[in-house]
Amino acid sequence: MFSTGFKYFFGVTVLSVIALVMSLALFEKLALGGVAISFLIAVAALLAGLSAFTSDGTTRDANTSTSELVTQSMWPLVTAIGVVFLGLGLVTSSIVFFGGIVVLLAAASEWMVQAWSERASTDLTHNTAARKRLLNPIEFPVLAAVGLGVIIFAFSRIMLTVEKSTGAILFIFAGTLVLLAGSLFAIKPNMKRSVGAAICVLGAIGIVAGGVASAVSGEREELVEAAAEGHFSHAECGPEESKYFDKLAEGTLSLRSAVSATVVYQDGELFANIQGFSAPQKSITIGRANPTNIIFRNSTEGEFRLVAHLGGDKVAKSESEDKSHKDETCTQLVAPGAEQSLTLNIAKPSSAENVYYLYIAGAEDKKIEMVVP
Amino acid sequence: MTAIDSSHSATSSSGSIATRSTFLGTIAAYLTASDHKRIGRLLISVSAIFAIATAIEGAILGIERISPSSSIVDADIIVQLFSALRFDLIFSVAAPMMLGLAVAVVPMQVGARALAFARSAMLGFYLWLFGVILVGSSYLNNGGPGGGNAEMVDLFFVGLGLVIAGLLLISASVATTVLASRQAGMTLMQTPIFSWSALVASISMLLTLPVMAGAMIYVAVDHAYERATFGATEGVNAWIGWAFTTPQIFIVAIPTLGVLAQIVATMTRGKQPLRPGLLIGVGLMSTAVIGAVTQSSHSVSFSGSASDVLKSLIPYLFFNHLSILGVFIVLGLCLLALKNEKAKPTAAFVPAFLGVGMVLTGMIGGAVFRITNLKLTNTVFDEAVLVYVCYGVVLSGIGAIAHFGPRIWGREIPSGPVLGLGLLGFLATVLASLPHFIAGFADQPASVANNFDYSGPIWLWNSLVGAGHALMALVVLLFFALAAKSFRSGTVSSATPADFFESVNG
Amino acid sequence: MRRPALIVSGFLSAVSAMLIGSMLAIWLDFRSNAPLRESTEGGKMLRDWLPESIKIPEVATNTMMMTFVITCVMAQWAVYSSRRNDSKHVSLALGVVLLTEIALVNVQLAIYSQMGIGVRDGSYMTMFYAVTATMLAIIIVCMGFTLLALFRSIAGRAGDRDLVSAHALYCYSMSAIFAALWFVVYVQK
Repeated sequence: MFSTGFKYFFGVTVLSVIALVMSLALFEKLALGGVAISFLIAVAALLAGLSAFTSDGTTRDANTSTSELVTQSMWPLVTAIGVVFLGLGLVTSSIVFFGGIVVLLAAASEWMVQAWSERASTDLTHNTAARKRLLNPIEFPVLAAVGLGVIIFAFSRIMLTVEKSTGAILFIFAGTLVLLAGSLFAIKPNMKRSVGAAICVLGAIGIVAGGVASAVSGEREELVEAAAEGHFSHAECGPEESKYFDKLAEGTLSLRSAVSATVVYQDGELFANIQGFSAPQKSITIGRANPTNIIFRNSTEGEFRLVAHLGGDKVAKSESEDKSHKDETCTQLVAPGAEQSLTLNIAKPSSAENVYYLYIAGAEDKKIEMVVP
Repeated sequence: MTAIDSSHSATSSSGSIATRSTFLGTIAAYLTASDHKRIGRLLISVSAIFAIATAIEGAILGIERISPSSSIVDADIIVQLFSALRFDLIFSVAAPMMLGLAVAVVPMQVGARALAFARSAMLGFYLWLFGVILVGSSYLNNGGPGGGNAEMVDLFFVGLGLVIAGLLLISASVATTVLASRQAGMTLMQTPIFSWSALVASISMLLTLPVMAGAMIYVAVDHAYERATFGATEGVNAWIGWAFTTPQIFIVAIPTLGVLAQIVATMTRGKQPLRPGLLIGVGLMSTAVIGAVTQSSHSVSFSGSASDVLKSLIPYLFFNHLSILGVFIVLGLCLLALKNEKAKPTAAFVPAFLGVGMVLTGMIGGAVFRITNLKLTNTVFDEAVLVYVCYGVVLSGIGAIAHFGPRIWGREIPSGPVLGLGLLGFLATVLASLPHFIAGFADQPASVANNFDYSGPIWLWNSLVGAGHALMALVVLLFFALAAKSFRSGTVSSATPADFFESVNG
Repeated sequence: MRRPALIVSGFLSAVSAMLIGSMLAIWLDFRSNAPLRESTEGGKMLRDWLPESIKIPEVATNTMMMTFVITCVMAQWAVYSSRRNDSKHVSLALGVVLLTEIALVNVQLAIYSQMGIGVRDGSYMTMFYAVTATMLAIIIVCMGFTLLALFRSIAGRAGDRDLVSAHALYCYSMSAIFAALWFVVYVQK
């Protein structure tokens, strides 16, 4: 009447109950062991019930199949790699973690579809076609994008490592190789697929290998120095010329739309020309939390830069606090007769604490007030 | 005898993709395997490699402890080695070896075409493998319990989590195969005893490993966020150490009973008196689960009033001795069957029998360890218990491969070397453990290689232990080399698939 | 009868239950070892376990519990439809289950946000996040199970009762496990 499996699980349940009763009777403090045994009782009872319900999986019907044969599959390996990345990402960085999630989701989807397609029919060709029909429209673009991304990234690493002149030569060389390969494919249209594939694979491997080698050896020295010293990461808004920030300073503007004001520095005076106002203005109004374009025109002899002071002046609460805080952005040094634009996005309205104005670096008395309502 | 078609030929195919005989093709076939024999082979082979490495770890520790006043290995490495030895014995060697055997053998025994959820089992193999590699990497970089490198300790937790997940997946596959893939008409009572033991062991792992995982999650989160609620890195052993000692370690040894009983059944041509007793004995051994989930040790103290003694004795007997009773039942019934039939022992019987003997010795040692009056806590006695049990599993694995291998892969392993290696393995196990039983009584401290002293020949016990581990490494290496050679190009076996099975009617 | 998916679902339920069970056991162990303090209302001694500054958002936690009940009902509806080979309703039911599971994840994140505690702030907080995040992971596993069953149903295997029943069993188990967690962590506090 009771199956063997049910008897086993029932036995485990009963013994667990005895253990729980014994522990309650004999031990003063029970939290850890008692709760764990309680869960064990519940689980063993569940398994006993399942065993009884399925009669231990015993069947008299010889026509029902036992486990089905499955074909080889690489998805368990890929899934495991995804899980490992997931775990490693918890310890290292979030990029690895999210990479693991992506790999896991992709592998799980492929696995699911493979399992489904294998049982779609008894015809292997049909099953393979069904799987391809479902997944190829996703697989090919994704794999192509990933492959292209890897090649582009590898190429970028190579460019960051080699000297600038060498980089130009490499570009020419790579382009020549592509031209040669393309010419070969055009001249011999009946060339074996494997040869073409081999050429492409070799090329890709070469670039990726080069990229890996370059990534390992690191960027060229000047880039490392620039990154360490933050040459290009911040504006230097003083009156003197900055070696990096003012390099290749722009002098002309191609886009003049949505300009709030044109600020002119002429004959030692700074004023703003605003559309709709005939006279030069010493104060301009700027919309809050909206990108605002201002054109700076230098009509004076000498190179000057326009600086926007963006508030943040904290009144020092005590003598020991030196909390004056300048938040500024600026144009590059503008040559006489040249123009540059400055884009501002101010989130907070003007107040005693948030004072906004434009001035010329080196001539702080030349100011134009900015009002943010 | 009830003859059951093992569907051996059906499961020998690897699916619709033809396997090329090239080297790369073979590697690809194994990497993407879904055939239970291949998956089993992978598990057994890799665990054998880890067994050799683990035995070398034990040998190094034995040598290091010969002279406590001097050290060959750096102190930090010693701490990691002790922890690694415990981890590797259970999770890199014993558990995967037995599960690998189950994966390879069970589907054929129950008449299934394939392992249930074979790809999940393969995923389990990879998770286990990558987990062991991560744990090993963490140990090599001062991680592990008590490690000094915080990131590597975190890596240890990740690796341990993967190992647990992998073993759970494989266990679920094996258990489902027994419960849901048996041939029509075969009840669980008629299931061959090895399959029954594989089922019981798998269920036991499914019930206890998540408990370890739960504790580990707390400790890992606590450690990752630099808190010390669970005692930081030093507290790791306090919270998951129970998984590396008795009674939890008995669970990985459950299939050894099945191996012995199966070999005996073959020797006696299926005549087994009181066969249901075998199932009960194996089931009783799994009561170790109840003690394990409490995450505490249940010791007994014979000092104090009678009621105090009784209060500690009852749970001590319940949690520690029920499993031992199960082993005695199985051993007794097997010996009874042999006596009745006057069967001639096969070569595979010797290591299988000795393996169970070693496991039993370890279990009895574990029970002795819990007697607080003997003051064996924090001595090397516990290490010896672990080595007895795990090396007993390895011995049993040798017997199982010698017995089942010809039936699965169709080629014989020569009996002489199996017998010799089995006896050598037994000697190695005794040498690697018994001296530490004695040293434990002499108060040699656990997990310490230097600056300890006690009266007695320290150098003798530890050099014997070192030699025992080294000998075990050699035994495993020789046996698996022999097996690999025999299964590839040995004599064609005369064993039939029906030899897998035993009579229902006793 | 052979029900491999149901058996595996049983094992998965067992694993999940033992996992959360062991975590709740350790939680209760810490709680029972916490020192006593007087409650702010006075006259009652409490375990100094849940910090006074932390308020459990009971509306959200109770909503989560009720959502589990709905998940079970929908999962059972899928089984009922599967018995009648009604593929449309199987897919619909499983779709609703998926939605409720997304809602469960959402409400758990809302609980985190409303409680506003940091994982490093104290022992209680660390353990709270550990156990609830583990439960969240179990819910996500169930979502995977639901997606698998849904895919099978849409792909024409609505009559595969074994998988749909297995899915329902896991939903029931997950709900029972959460009920234990809800009672220990959110109700008893």
